[in-house]
Amino acid sequence: MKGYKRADGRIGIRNHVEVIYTVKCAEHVAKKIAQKVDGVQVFGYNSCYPDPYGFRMLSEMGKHPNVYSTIVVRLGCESTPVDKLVEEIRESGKECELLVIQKDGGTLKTIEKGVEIAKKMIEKAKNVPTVDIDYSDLIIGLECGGSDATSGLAANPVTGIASDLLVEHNGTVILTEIPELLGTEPYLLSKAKNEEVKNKILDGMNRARDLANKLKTFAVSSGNEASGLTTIEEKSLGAMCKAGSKEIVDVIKTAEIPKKPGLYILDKVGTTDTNQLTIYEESDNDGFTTLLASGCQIIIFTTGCGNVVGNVITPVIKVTGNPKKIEIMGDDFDVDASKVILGEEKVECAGKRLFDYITEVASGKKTKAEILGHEEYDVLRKFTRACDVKYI
Amino acid sequence: MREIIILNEKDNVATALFELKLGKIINIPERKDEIKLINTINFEHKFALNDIKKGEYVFKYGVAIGVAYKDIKKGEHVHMHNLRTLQGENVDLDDETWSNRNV
Repeated sequence: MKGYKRADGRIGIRNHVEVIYTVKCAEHVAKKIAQKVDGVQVFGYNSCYPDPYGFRMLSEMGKHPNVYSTIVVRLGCESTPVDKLVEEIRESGKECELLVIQKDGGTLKTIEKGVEIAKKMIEKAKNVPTVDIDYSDLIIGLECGGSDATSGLAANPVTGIASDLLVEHNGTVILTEIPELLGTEPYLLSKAKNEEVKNKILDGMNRARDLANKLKTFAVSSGNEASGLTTIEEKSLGAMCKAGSKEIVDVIKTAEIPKKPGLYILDKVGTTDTNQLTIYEESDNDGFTTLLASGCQIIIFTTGCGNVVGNVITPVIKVTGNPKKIEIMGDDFDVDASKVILGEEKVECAGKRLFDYITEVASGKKTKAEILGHEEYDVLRKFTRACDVKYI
Repeated sequence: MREIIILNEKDNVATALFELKLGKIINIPERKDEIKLINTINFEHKFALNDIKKGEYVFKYGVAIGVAYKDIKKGEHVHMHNLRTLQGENVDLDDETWSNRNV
């Protein structure tokens, strides 16, 4: 496999130039810059109000190893500490240029300046040499979305086989969405490395249950129910299968990056002892953002109902076990695991296929989402609840 | 080609892999049993493998996925109208308005 070694020592498998807008009011200018220069992508944060979580996500995305360089576009009067954002990205060793619409001449002139910078960055990005990488350089995030009954019968068990293979090859795998693991405690705890990890898992589970009960909302959508799923336990038992069978070495918090290989759980539930309670994950795109912030260079996304999204920084590998969705919208999926539920392919074989596919994507092969131009992102304001990291 | 999946011997529900019409007889050789469907069971949905009384647990993957809040008959559709989570606090089994979502 070939990747890019960054100044901070981290390994990227893509080499993006990204434009970052720091408030909704700067979005148009940022998007115009990206549209005018081939290969440039864009993401940003909407609120004028600073938010520790939103800020941390912007910074971690800007520093992400799949990113070569960035242009930050701010309006000028928003409260988010943009200078600090630029400083953090530069400290990671990446080139980061700042444009301020209110100082750089308004819409047209700022776009013009941005386009000029972006063109130069794209040229420089082409000259970045690749280096040999192996599985120990990879952090793979696992996410479910648009789950149905086939997810827990095929797509997630198949992903579990691939997770096991990644861990056996010294890779790092991150399981997240603790509120969608409620009811699986006996199994998850039996996989914990030691008492300390066991307690961390239990603590996350308890806060997730508390949050769901306070909001009177479990993480089961109407689409999940229409597709045969019922209670959170049923959804969770299916979702858990994607972690595979390896020992859980630790629980990490929001924006924490695993330092050693193995299987991790990302706990982003946050505190529930606050009057600022919000849904823990607004959408799958929101989920991808937190996985990025923990350093994932690839996301495996299992979907039964058929979610089509990708991500602006990280390749998203879509796996489905639903034969009907393969027929209706097969172009959107990377790995077809539907033969598993029909008894025509062994789960181990499909898992090995997924593992090989991950290897190819890490070497540069484009995922379906990348080919189809899916460059979604979602950087939300979550107040202090979802953020266990300090603001500054 | 199989038409249902039973994941664990402890399970009291099976998942349909095709739409199975009301009145269809499903053979369960491993349990030496056959079941006449009381409802049409859509692709991916579940039906009861035996009678499940109100207050009893429903098992899938060999694990309790919830509690029956109505009596469920063998061959009946098991879904949100008769099954409820065990993760909720103070859930009243007689409260018919309970839902997974408060939105």
